[in-house]
Amino acid sequence: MNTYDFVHLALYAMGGEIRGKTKLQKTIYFLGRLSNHIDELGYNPHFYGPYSSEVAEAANRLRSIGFLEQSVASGGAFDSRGFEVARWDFSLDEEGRKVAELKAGNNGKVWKKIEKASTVLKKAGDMDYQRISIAAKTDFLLGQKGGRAKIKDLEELASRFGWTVKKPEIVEAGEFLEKIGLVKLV
Amino acid sequence: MTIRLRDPVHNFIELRADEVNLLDTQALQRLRGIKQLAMAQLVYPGAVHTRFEHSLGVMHLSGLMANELGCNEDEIRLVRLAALLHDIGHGPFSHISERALEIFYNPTLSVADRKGGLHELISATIVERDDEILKRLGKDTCTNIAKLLRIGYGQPALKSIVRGPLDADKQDYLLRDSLFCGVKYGVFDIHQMHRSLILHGPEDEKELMIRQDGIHAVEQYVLAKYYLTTNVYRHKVRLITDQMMVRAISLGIEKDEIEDLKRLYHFDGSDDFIQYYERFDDAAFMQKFCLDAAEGSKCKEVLLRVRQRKLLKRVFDCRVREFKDSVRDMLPKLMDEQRDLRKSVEAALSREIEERTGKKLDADLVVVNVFSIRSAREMSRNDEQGILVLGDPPELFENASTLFASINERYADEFVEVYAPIEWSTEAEKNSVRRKVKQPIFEVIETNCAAAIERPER
Repeated sequence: MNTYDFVHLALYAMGGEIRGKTKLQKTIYFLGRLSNHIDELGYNPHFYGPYSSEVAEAANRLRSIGFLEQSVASGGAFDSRGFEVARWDFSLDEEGRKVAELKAGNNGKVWKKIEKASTVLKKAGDMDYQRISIAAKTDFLLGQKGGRAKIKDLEELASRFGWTVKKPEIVEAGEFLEKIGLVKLV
Repeated sequence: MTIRLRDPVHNFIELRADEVNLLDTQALQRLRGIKQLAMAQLVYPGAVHTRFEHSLGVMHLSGLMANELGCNEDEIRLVRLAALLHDIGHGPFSHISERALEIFYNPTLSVADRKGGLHELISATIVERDDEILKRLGKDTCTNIAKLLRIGYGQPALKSIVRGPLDADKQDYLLRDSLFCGVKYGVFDIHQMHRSLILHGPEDEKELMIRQDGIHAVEQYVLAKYYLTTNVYRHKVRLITDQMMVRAISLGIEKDEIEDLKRLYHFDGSDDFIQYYERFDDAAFMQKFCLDAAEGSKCKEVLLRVRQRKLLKRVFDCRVREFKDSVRDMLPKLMDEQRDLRKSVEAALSREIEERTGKKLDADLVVVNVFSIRSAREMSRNDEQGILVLGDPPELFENASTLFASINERYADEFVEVYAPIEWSTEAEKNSVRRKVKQPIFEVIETNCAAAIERPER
C-alpha cells in the first residue's frame, strides 16, 4: 500500500482526528510498526525522533484535495519568548471519512492490520506530543526489534532534547512502549 | 596539487589534489553534457548550465559549511568528495530521466533498495563500482562516500550538509538557477546563513541547526525556493516540456519497443545497466533516440517536437477539489500507480477534444498532468524534515520565524491540467478552444475515474 492510502486509513482508524503535527508523525510511525508496514512509510531518524516526509506529504495531499481539515489551536504552551505555541490539528471531514470507508473495503487485509494496530495504540493511552516523541525515538534507537529499555534511558533521551519532562511522564512513555509490545522495560 | 577554477556563482572554487584527480573521470565529465534544468532553456534561454558546474559549486559550499561547523580534516575531505560526486547518477535531462527511471525500473528491487531515490542510488552505485573513481580514491573512501550519499556516514551533520533542508545542493542550485535563468528570486544571504550554522545535540548525534541570528537569512533562502519553484520549476511551459519528454520515453519503450531505451531506464542495479547508463548525456540521448532513430518512431516524433519547440498546448486546467470526492482521491494516482487508467482517460479525452474542435489529434500526445502547490511555510521543509533553530529546546524554523509563523499553512492545492497537440494563433482562438473543451474534458475525467473506482482490481 502506498503511503498516502496508509495515512488516510490510519487517520480513519484513529477516529478521524489527530492533534498536532508531531503527534500525527509519531502515531503513523507506531501504526506502521504495529502493522508491519513501517518500511514502506519512509521514516528516517530526526532530532525529535523518526520523521517521514512521505507521511507529511500524504497529509498535505489529503488536505489539498479537501479530505482533511487542518486547524490551528492553542496547545496551551508558550515558547521561551512568551509566544503561544500553535498546534495544528487534523481531522478528516465527511468526504474524507466516506472515501476512507470505501478504501478500507477495497483493501480489507491492510485495513484489518491498521485497525488492529489502532486498537492497541488507543488502549495504551492518549500521549501528548512530547511523550509520544520520546517513545518513538526510544523505539527507533532500540533498533525496532523489541529491545529492552530502562526508564533511566528515557530520562536521558528527554534531557538530550532539552525537554522539561517530569519523571511520571517519562514512566508513562516507557509503559506505553511496553503496553504496545515494542519494548520490555527492565 | 590544488587548482582554482572560476565559477560564475562563487567566483574562485579551489580543488584539492584528490578532487582534481577526479575531475577527468568520465563519470564526472559526463555531467558537462547534462543540463541542470533540462528543457527550461525553451522558456529561459540562459538556462543552459550543467550538472558539472553545479557539482563543483556544491563541493565548494559543502567545504565551507563543514569548515564553519568545525568538522575535522577527514570529514571535510569526505563531505567535499561526496558533494562533488552526488549527481553522477543523473541521466539525460536530469529529472526527466529520474521520472522515467521511477516508471521503468526493475520492479523486483525492494523498497529498501529504492529508499532515498533512484538517482541517489545510482550515484552511490557508480561511486562504488566505477573503475576510474575506485582507482583514484581507493575502495574504503568510495564505500564511505556511497554510504554518506545514501544513508549517512559518520556524524549526522555530514549527511545534512549533502542532503537535508539546509544542504549545499539546494544552496547552490537556487543561486545558480536564478543567475542562469536571469531571475532575481534565488538570491539570499548565504554568508550570514553559513555563519549561523551550528551543531547541537548529544555527542554522537549532533544535528545541524541555525542560531537565532540566522533566521532572516534562512527566511530569504526559503522564499528563494518558493519563488523559484513557482516561477521557474513550475513554469507552465516547463511542465509541458517535461511531460512531453517523459511521454517520448514512455512511447519509445511501450509503443516503439526500442530495446536500447528500455535498457537505459530498466534499472536493476547490475553492472551492465550502469555501464550502459553512463554512455548517455543529453546530446547522446537526442542523437540516438531522435536524430538517428528510425522514421515512424513515436519517441522520435515527440522529441523532434520538443527540439523544434512545437509544444503541446494547455487546453484545460482545474483544481482537483472541483471533482467529486472519490475522483479527487484517484486523480493524483494517475501520475504513478494508475498509469493504465491515465492512458484510457487520455484516449477518451483525445476523442472528445477531436469532436469538440473538429481537429484530428494524435491520441498519444494528449497528456494529463496532476501536480500540487504548497504554501511557502510548507516549503521550508522541502522533502526533508524541518530546519531546526537553536534554542532551549530547539524549535522548528517555521515557528521560530515571525514571518513564517504568520503564513497560513492551510493553503495547499492540487491541480489537473490537460495538454494536447493543438495549434492556435490568437488569444481569442485559444480562449475559444479552451471554452469549448472545458466542460467536456471535466466530464470525461470524472466519468472515467469514477468508473475505474467502481471496478477495483485488487
